[in-house]
Amino acid sequence: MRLKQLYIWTMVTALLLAAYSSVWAAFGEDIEKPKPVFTQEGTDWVSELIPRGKSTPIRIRFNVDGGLLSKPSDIDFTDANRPNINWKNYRSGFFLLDIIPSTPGGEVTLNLSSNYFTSATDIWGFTERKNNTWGTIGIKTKSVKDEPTAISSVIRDGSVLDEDGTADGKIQIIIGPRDSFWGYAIGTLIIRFFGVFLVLSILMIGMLLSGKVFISIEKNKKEATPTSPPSAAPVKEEPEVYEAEPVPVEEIPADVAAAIGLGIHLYTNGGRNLRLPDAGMKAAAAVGLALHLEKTSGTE
Amino acid sequence: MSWQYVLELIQNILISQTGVPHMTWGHGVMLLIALFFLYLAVGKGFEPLLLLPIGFGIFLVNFPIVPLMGLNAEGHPNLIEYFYQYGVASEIIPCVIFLGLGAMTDFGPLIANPKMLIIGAGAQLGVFVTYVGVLFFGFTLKEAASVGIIGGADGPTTIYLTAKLAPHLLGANALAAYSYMAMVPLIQPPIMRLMTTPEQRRIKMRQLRPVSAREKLLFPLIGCALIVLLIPMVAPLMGMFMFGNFMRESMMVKRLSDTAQNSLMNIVTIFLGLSVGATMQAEVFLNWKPLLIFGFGLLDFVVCTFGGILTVHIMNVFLKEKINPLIGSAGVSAVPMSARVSHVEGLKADPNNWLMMHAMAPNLAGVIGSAAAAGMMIAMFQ
Repeated sequence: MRLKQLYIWTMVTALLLAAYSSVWAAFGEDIEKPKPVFTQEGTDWVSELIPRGKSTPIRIRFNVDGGLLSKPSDIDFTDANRPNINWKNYRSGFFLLDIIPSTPGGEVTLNLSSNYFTSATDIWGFTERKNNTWGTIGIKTKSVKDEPTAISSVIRDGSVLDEDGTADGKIQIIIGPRDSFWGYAIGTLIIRFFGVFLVLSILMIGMLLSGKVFISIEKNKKEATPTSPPSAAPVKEEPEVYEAEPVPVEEIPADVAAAIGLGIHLYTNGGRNLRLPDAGMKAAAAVGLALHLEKTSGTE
Repeated sequence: MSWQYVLELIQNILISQTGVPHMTWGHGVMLLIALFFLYLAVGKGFEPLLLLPIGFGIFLVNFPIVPLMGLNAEGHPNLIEYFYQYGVASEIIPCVIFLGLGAMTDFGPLIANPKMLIIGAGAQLGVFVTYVGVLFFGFTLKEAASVGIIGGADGPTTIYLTAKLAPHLLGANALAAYSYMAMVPLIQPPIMRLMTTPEQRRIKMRQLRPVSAREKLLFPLIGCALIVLLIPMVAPLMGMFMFGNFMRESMMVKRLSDTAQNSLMNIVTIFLGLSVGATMQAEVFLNWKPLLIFGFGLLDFVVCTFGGILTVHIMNVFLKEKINPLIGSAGVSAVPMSARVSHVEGLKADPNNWLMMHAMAPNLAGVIGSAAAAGMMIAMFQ
């Protein structure tokens, strides 16, 4: 028992130490970093990737109205140099997009669509260059049933989003589709915890109902069991009389006798805590135990 | 042949063909950990069926350059890698163990008192609390889910979920789950006493109704249909569990049922333990995450016990016939250990209060509840 207590205290200490170590390991390493593969479909580009916190791949479609989109690429968090951004909020990563607007200084509409996006998905990028501040780039979300959620945003050549900041006929932007990590983690957690309750409650209701059916079936079965058939003239039968055959004392095997003796011995010495109401039950208990011991040869 | 050449030859052999020069302090630490778990299994009898093969697996793979895990020069898996790939990574063994568990389980107490299913759900509280807790420590969502399920106190479910979501944490999670399951008699009683009054501990529950053989036979079909319909992701585990139980209750395939309960279960347990232990190589295991897992695993068990008892208290507000809150702690699976703990604590409060059969119901509900929670987690990351 002492070893177990020691083990538990060791684990509690480990937890406290680990809590301290987590200061340096803040938000852990990015072991699930998405690795997108880009393919062109007409004028659209499609990125296929496994986002953080998922096991199956998703598709994000990129499309531009009023300009030409070159092949997008993914960009590392450190490369993007956004020190105040928690990459956990960007489960599908960051994208670097090169767009050529139809006129220098002109505007294009960037369209992103994916089944993975929700109505809460936002697109973040630069909102202020001096302090590397990121925020929403101003989006419109369109959700149509059975179709991927579409997000669009108007981007102007030379605006704060444009990496070179000049209206030179080339737009380069770094953006990331954003969903709150903690919002998702806590939200889905609560839903799933109550989901377990819901599932087991449904099972419980199913079992209560089926239990009632079975109880009534059993009850009906018992009622339907035929009792002794009524007869017109009951015949009085002479009850059979069984006479117990006397057991010659000398025929009791030695091991049975020993078992009975042992039973009585156990009862009188080892069974002090047994509280039986009368002498008859005491004797019955002793004989029962003896017979049990004889039958099992004391192995149980 | 010069002496220089002979010395070079010996040196080369020593360096490339023996493990001695490759020993690191990490190997030493892992060997000590292996010996510790072997001692717990053999010397102290803590879950020996699992901790012994796991301990030996750790022991084996923590010698340098041993061809046991990973691929050989020809690109084929080494011996234990084969066991791991075909048994654990493919998720076969946890499901086969569930088959055996199903064949061993008598659902009678749960069928007689289905309300106990709610306790099984409440006792999953720790799974979700731990999930959030480890997220604060930098775990990914999938890792957090696999650590959270430890509190479900169900070894195969823990292994199944971890193999699916965070295979690199398999060794630590499995070890934490089985270690704490062995320590249920130590972890639970203080929480049980803290959360109940002596009067509540003395509550006597009505004897359970008899359950007919036909009812027991139909339960795996009805239960499986409902659960799999609501959480399809849990079908591999729950399907095997209910199949094993159906074999048992049909009483027509005694040989198959016996095999599932005994021989098959024993065979897969050997391979499971060895494979899980073998994942704990020094270079993978020695970091801060396993430490956290063991710490949070304990917290998980505590919160799950708390959740089960709290659920009973809440249920008692609405029920005419009160439930003894001691059986709430049996809502964590750990079959039948936690039910036994409830029973023993009940006897301490009243020597004539026999809670064993009542506690078996939330205990079985805990198995279903933890599998349901695992299914929910898997669905979440699909």
